[in-house]
Amino acid sequence: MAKKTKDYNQERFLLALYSQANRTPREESINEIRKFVEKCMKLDAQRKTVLDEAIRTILRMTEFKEIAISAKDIDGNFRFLAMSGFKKEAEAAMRAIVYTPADLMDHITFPAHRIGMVSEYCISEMNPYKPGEEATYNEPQLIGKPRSAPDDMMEGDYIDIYMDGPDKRHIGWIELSQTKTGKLPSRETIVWLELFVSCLSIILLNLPAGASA
Amino acid sequence: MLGKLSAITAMEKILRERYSPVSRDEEENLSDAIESLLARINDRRKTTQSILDETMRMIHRSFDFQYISILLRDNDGIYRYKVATGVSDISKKTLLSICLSEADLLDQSTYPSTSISNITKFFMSENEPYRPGEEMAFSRPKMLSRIRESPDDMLEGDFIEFFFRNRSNKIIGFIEAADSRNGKLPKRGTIIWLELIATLLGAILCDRLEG
Repeated sequence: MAKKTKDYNQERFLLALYSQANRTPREESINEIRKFVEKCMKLDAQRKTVLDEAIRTILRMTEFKEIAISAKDIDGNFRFLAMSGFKKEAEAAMRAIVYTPADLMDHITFPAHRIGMVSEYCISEMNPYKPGEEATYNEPQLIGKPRSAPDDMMEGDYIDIYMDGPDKRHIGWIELSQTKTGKLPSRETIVWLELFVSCLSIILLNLPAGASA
Repeated sequence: MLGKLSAITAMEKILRERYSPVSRDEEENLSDAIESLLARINDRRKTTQSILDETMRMIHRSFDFQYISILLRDNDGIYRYKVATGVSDISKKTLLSICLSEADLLDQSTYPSTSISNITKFFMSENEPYRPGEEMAFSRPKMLSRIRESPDDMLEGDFIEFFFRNRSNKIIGFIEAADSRNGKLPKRGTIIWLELIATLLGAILCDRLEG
């Protein structure tokens, strides 16, 4: 059989059309999620390693300075297992908190405004924390400071994006606060984060048997 | 400075406006469609076949391809078509009979291709990327020799493969897409979305399939 020869002009056209050099920021942000999934599959597959990698990706791709990830533990309660951007004292206070599944449904103690399919915004003025949890903030003395503009993201404001497992049961969430500009994050950021979080759920629910926290 | 109550009201208004849950563009629609697919298929109780079926249907519905199929590596190391849509019954029968070895995936003399990323290959109709007899796997085999009038045309015989791998980097399957609805090559953004879906499929299936 005659050897098949390539049409090199058409090949050049394809390579130019799909060149990785000309990607738009949106295309690049989708590709970052793919790279994250690919990287997590090659990691040592420990939950903590995956969560730390998730935090590094979010820090690189979004305007948030403070990120914490809470995940369901073997006792069925939720604990913060990975954090970035917090002072030592705030981080210690966060590590000490245990949330029960009932706490996640408690919108009286933690009033929130839904901003996406799995995202909620907690407004500082509504005191979305239990007594004593003020210590989890980097600057607790700033809580209650009047807001100068409605699009400010203040100390005490935070966003939770939930990770769901089968039957829509929460397996954890990512908590985000303090943007670099001090303003609310863009809509694109929340859309990207929701997709990222749903991919993170895939990784966490498909960790190999024997993977530990 | 805003008072407490007026601050809450103003905040709620801006949150409603900025983050309204209604998708605003095609990209947001795709993001929603993928999240919804992941929520459905990320369940160990689901069979591999139903995961492939739902993924194929989602891609077929959300992207510009009329033909979508997914192949998996079986325990004997052979890749076989597991699901396919957008082909005639005769083509489907031929597809389901095709067996590809690992060597076939790398065989540039039988299946010449152009790598457009580390997980995506484009097969051009002009290069006849099929074995004798496999022409019948295409819906319109008589159109396989059609001349490409413009370089951005997508012809019968053009197809794209998106590979997915397991933890040891072995290819465990791939998504095949062809026959765009507008007859043109897909946009770069489409390729990137499908690469994400393929990689996620690998993450979901890798522990179900032998390496």
